[in-house]
Amino acid sequence: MAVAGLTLSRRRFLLGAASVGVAFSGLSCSRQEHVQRKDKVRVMALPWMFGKYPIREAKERFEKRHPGVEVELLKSPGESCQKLLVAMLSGRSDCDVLLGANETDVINFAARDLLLPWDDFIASNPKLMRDRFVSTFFDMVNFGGIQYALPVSGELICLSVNKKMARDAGLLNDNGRIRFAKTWSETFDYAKRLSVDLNGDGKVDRYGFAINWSFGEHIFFATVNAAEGRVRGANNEILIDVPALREMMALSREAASKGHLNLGCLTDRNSDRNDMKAGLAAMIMTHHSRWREVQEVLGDGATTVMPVPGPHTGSSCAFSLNVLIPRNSHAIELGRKFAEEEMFAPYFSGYAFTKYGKLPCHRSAIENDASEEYHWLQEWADRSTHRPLVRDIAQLIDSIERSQARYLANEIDLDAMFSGLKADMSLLDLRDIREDLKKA
Amino acid sequence: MKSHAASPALQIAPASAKNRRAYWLEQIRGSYAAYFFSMPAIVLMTVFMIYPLLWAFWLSFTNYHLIHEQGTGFVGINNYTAALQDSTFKTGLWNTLVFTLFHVPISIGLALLLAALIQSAGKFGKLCQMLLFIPVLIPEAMSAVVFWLFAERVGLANHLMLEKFGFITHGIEQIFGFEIPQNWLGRPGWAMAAIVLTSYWGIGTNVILFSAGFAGIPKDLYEAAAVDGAGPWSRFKAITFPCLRHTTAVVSILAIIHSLKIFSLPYIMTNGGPGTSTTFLYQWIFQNAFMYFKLGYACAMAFLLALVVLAVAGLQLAVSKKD
Repeated sequence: MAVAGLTLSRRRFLLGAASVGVAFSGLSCSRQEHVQRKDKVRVMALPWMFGKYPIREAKERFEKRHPGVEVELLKSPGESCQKLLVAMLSGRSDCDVLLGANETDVINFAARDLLLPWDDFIASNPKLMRDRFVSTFFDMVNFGGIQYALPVSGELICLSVNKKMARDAGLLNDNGRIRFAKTWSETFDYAKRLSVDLNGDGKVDRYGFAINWSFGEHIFFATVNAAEGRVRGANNEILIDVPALREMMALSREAASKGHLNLGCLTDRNSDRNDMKAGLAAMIMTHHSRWREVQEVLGDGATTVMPVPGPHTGSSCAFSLNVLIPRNSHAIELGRKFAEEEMFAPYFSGYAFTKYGKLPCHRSAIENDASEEYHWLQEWADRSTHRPLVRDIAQLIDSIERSQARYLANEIDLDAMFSGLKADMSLLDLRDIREDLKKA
Repeated sequence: MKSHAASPALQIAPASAKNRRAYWLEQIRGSYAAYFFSMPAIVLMTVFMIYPLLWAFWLSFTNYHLIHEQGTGFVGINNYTAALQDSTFKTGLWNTLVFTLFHVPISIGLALLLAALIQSAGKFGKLCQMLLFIPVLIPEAMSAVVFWLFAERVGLANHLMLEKFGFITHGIEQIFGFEIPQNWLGRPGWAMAAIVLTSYWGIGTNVILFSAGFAGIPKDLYEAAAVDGAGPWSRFKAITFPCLRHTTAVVSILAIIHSLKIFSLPYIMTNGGPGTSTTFLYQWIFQNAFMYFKLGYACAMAFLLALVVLAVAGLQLAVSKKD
């Protein structure tokens, strides 16, 4: 064979090509051992967190405190940590510290032995011990007695109410506080009273209530927990068809038909908070942080919170945003130090709370916040629980949201909605992910 | 043997089997340089197309899960039968067909009309052609943000209907029995209509193809027809349409394939909702593969969709050949 003046026999050519192929595949498949770095740490966070947490300030502070150390900030691919999980499963190391994983992400990572536990670090750092955290969030990422992550912020489902509009509708008591609605029918009565026809054309111009159906499973489990005080039944089955849910869904459809409830969140997850900022919505049921986030536009103290109605006042569905160290981190010690010194410093989650309402999980963050909402939220967080940690959680979420949307769009009736949901669930793998942890 | 005789390569190949083998080996040896230079393309195609395709085909017969790998195994045609029984798969297929039905004929008709207008617009036509092509250059994912047009509170559609065309709006309210402002994307039928409407955004490619087709029609045909007293419609029916037959076939195949693979528009505008009213097959496959990580099942659905695309394209080709 003659190529560019070289003569090769067929055998040599094939042998050469095969060797190159084997060498490349060997290189790409081999697991590489990395030396721990002392001069650089890669900090990754969910993209939206860069706007709501002082991550860049944390980098500057840390670099100033540790001369010669570089902090590289990275945005995680996508809005969740699922893609990172796939990357880590293939042995790739994308970051040394990850901020933003929720408890489902954490258990998924932990069940595949991809995380370094914090326990030994906590033992030598009293600042990070359990009693310094809101216990609900701390325990959410403790599996089998091992602390796989540390919670930075927590979120729970509740109702945010525009106080001025509530005052106009006569929903505040003499102290200027909102009177908590105890039942769903009372809540929808609030919605009716808060709905206003501003120009007298017979149509509602400012609606009373919106529920964020884009987080449909959170809404579901918050309602169940407030009604039953739990989200799993006596046989550990997921509670999905409870009277309170039926009542809430039926009242929602009725209120939507009258214009008291807006369904914009069926297709736009931000429509409720945007409308509240624009003064078009009086009350929204969504993540609690919106209560404070909208104050950026409406003014300090313009809104307040109300628990999810039900006999178990304050019980809701919550989730945490955690910091974790991947097992294949290239800078384990620096990563831990960065988390301890910056992410659990009062300024970090304190800023996210003051400006955006993200509930700090470390109790030192808000020592001087006197707002009663903060204390209520901490109290409610203690009574809240996370959504079930099941293998097919993504499908369960989609199934719940689809069912809700079909019912609210008048495609099916209430019985069909719940029977369809049960049928969907019967096809899902609802085994607890924590079972995988034992195998790992 | 008859067919072999028809092949020019075999006509010059030696007749006996032994000699024929030696002949072909010699041919291959003599073409090493050609193989060498085409190797990069062959390697790239093998690594990024053929291997993934074969791997995906194999996966479609397994219960492979990207995260929960334990228990992965061969499941035969279970994924295919499960897909055919999956109500969301069926809904997705139905929605895809409905979209195709509304998107393909209207987009082709509109493109043909615009191309015809451009032909008769002289230099101004070139400018129009360029303007029509600009949306094609914008990623579909970005164009989907026009969903704000249909938003309930801040959407242009509601704003225009309420503020500018109140009298028409009142009529619509009377006839259809619903109030405006309306959450267009929150109602199943309207959400589909909004997606179909938005999909005409990318009509520019078809206009360009038809314009090229128009350019290939001899002018003297029109002149002869005009001398014979043929009107515009007769000229279109007897000259334009037959001459654009092949262009129309190409455009319709492309439009059908594009419709069957519709993904980014509904994903961004409605995320398949409300319920499953705008869930298309591609999105359901995507969800299973990259959100539920059920790669085996997703691959089976992808091959079923590929079958549909192949069948439709084959049918279309057969019809155009017969023509």
